[in-house]
Amino acid sequence: MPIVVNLDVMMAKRKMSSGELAGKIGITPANLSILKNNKAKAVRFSTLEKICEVLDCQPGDILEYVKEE
Amino acid sequence: MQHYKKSLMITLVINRVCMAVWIACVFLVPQIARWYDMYSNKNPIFTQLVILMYLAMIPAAVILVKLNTLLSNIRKEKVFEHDNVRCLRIISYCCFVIAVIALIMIYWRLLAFVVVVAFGFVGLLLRVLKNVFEQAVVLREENDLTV
Repeated sequence: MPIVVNLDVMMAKRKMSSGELAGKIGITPANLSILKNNKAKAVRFSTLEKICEVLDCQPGDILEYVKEE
Repeated sequence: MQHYKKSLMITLVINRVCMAVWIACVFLVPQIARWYDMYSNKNPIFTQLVILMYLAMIPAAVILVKLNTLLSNIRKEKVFEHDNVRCLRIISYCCFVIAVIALIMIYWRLLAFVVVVAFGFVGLLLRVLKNVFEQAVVLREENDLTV
């Protein structure tokens, strides 16, 4: 998929663990790992909103478009 | 007990009863064919009837086993799975096979066309159901991967 999720970069910057982030967003750790491993097919706006709120960042900091060769 | 579990149990019991009937038929087919010849006043078709009935029992067994797999999958709450789609496809093909076997029977008894139409129609219905399931699997996977 040309959309890459750079969640681990932002998490490292904020020094937050997966479990802690999942708890603060209100999703299961399993779902968070789907998102982190780029396996997700869609992200709800409500989830994105929560992630941005918790990590204090913009959606562009987490999501990146990479042109497919 | 929730309603759907009760309903599933009833379906399972019916499936088991059908399996028992199938096993009984293994022994009863010649008897049934003999009875048929006794009460029909046309030319006897004992041999053809026995052969075709035994032939039809093979797809029937596959259908019963696949139905059992399908039901046990549903019981495990695995409904919209590729495995179930495959089961439905095999069952629908088996229905068509039985329809073809009954088609041969028309050569001796015209009334067999009722069986042809019935099984052909059931096969078609199951095929449509299989297509619906196929689409449902895609939707479920997408839903599962939405965070």
